[in-house]
Amino acid sequence: MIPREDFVGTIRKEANGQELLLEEFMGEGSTAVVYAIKPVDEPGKSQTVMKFFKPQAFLEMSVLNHAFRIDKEMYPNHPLLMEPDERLRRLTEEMLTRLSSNGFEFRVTLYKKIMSSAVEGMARTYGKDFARGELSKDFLEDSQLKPRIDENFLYHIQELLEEDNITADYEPFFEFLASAVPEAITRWKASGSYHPFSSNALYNLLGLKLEDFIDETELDHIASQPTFQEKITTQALSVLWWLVTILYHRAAGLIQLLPSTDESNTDETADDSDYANLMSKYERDRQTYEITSCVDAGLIGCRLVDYFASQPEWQNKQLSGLARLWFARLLELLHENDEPRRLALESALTLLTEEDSIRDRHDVLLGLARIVHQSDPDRALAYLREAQVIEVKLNIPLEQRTREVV
Amino acid sequence: MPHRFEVFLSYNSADRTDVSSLASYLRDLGISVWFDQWMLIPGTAWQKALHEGISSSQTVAVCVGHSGVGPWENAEMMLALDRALKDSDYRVIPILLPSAPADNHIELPPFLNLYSWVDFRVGLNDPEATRRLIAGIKGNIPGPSQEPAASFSVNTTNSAPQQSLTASQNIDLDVLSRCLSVIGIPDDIQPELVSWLRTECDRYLDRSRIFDVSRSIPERLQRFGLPTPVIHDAESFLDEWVTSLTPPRLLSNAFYVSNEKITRTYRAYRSAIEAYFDAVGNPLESDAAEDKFLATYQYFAGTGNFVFLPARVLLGESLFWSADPVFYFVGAFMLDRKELFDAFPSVEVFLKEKSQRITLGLTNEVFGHSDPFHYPYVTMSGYLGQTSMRMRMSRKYVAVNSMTVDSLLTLIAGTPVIISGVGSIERSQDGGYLIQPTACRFSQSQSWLHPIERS
Repeated sequence: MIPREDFVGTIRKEANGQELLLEEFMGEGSTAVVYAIKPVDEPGKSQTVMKFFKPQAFLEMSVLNHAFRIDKEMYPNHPLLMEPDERLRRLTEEMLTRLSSNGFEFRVTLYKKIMSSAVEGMARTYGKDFARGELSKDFLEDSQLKPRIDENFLYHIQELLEEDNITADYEPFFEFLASAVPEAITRWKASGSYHPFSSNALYNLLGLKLEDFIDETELDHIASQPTFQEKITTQALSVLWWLVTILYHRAAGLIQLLPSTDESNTDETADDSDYANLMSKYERDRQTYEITSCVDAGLIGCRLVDYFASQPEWQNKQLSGLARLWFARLLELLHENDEPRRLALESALTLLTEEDSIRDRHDVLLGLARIVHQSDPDRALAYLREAQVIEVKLNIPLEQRTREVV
Repeated sequence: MPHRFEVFLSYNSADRTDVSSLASYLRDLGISVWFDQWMLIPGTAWQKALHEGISSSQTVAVCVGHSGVGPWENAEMMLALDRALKDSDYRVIPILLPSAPADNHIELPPFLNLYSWVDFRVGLNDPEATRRLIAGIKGNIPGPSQEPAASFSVNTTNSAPQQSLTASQNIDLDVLSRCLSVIGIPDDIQPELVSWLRTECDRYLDRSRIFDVSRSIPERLQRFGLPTPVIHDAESFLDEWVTSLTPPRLLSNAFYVSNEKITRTYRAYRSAIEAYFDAVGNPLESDAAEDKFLATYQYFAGTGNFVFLPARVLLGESLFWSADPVFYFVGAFMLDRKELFDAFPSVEVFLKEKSQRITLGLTNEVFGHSDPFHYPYVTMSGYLGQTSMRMRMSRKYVAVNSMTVDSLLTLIAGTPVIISGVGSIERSQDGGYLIQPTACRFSQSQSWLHPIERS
């Protein structure tokens, strides 16, 4: 951990590109750390105070965070001054340790939310079956669920139980879970099939980026290190791909819940209405931020899967193609222009050529048909026809087949 | 005639002291009591008033002590029995007072034997007898025994009833008085001091004003003209006592509150706690951890099972009598820094190199660490009086904020701090004592660390 005073003399680059010089450490409270700052491009401007609310990755690191640089002119003997290579070496070392810690998942806000959603989802899906005595013995083997079940998940359940945070009707189910999960983990460990998200180096590397411990360049550097690469298995790539799909569905779900921009209550008084609009805007901004976070993480996840799956020692075309398909799907959520999506899908098409990839190829074809149907109807039709051939091959029922006409 | 009173107390004048305590206790539980010492106006025709009292009460409790049934009690009882034969809703409840013979050879009018007894021979603070008596007064079925399986060390040295929902009633007056004597407060001013303390504690049970009692202590003590050393000792002593009597104060000042332990304790005693609160007509409604803590605390205090450990230290008594369930403790503790440094080697380096720059950040690094598996438990060692103790707490429940940071840093730096709080104490495997705190705070008190020699 860098002493708070050592941030004096550093320059922080904000999301909007503005650079701020931290001139003085003002103090620290339980929720925030305060510095006197001055914009770099306005040296004549008087100092203002900036409060950094915790948790902040840069406050927890022992190496200067990527968003900071040192003002070498004014602080030539700054204690954090070092060569970029040395900084990167130390950062890599620190981050490799951090991502190997058991409970790192609890530090990543998004992962904590996914964990809570998994618990809720599990209760909704299986709680009633359990109450009726109809719960399948191997329900924990559910492929959607299994990668999320680990010691952290168990800890979360035990914590909920110990603090009485579960309603009485679901308590027996959670008590059952608290005994079934450790048994399942032991079983999976013995059979070599225990590959939860939390022990996945790629998943944790993505977590470091999500919490802003590292930027994308640093992520790529760490991912390219032999000490990191030796942690990556095919299983790890598959789990990361699962995470990408979860992030996609989470973002898509949040978009559905996004409050409308024109929601305002005209029946209320002006003040109430202003307040309601302000809260609505706040809520919308908060959800938009979360959606963007999910999509950004998903995009990086796709890129990581693609990167590793394309390496000579992997040569996993299907995973690579899948990563590009989901890359395009994630982009679609942001309603950005079609070009990057088209490129991603076209490249996916060249990879999803094996027999066991035809379902995913089908989805790629439909995605492409939708993108090019106005600019190039003939190509769209060709994509559509191939998709329909696949549907016949897969014996898709008639009523479920694509009837889209370009 | 409408029932103005829920219970009429019929007793032999030889048992007046016990019955007076019982009357006060029932009144504190919110039950309207007809007790002749409170109801009879000097100079009025008391026979008529007694008759009216019985007529206007829903139940009659016939109290029987070592002297059996008194002459007037006999008349009251006959009147009540007569009415009970005519009115099925009218209840007669025979009560065996603590002074009643221990064996079952109690000579009583035969008709009284027809009714179910409530037996207080163990003591007026017997929770099971209390529950049965209140059920009888209210006309409810008492149901099976709600007594928890664990054995309690009930303090029977004080004849005053302990069970109450007010703070002042929870003070063990006998112990308090003896403590004041040890500190050097003259006997003649003790009643006034105790009376003032009782009143203040009751007034400031209100959570919004929980700090006011301690603030007013020094001024009050100065008025008695006590020498400064005595004031100093009494101040810290009363301060801790006030904290123990006003649990919201403890929570508001706490640096550690274990939701897990609150839940576990509440679950273990749930049926007894709920019965206790139901019995006083104040059923628990909230499921919040804070309310559970307060209810549990109140239950143990109200049933005489809450031990104010500093008093035992001060009085030089044995710290542990038996399986006392809940303690209020004060002691000096140091952090086990080997465990800390094993978990956070960087902190050890930091302390060696930059001890002059310890900040809240360092405290956050240790106690605010997000990984629950990393350094999950904080161990401390220290002393209660002259008895060495260890204390173990879950790191996740340690609060890091501007109120606690200095003390937490002191602990990290290897210096002892005074910690007071509520918890259970158990024998650890190595034969020592282990405190499992529920809630604790950093204390200002010093004089509780060792018995005071002055007296």
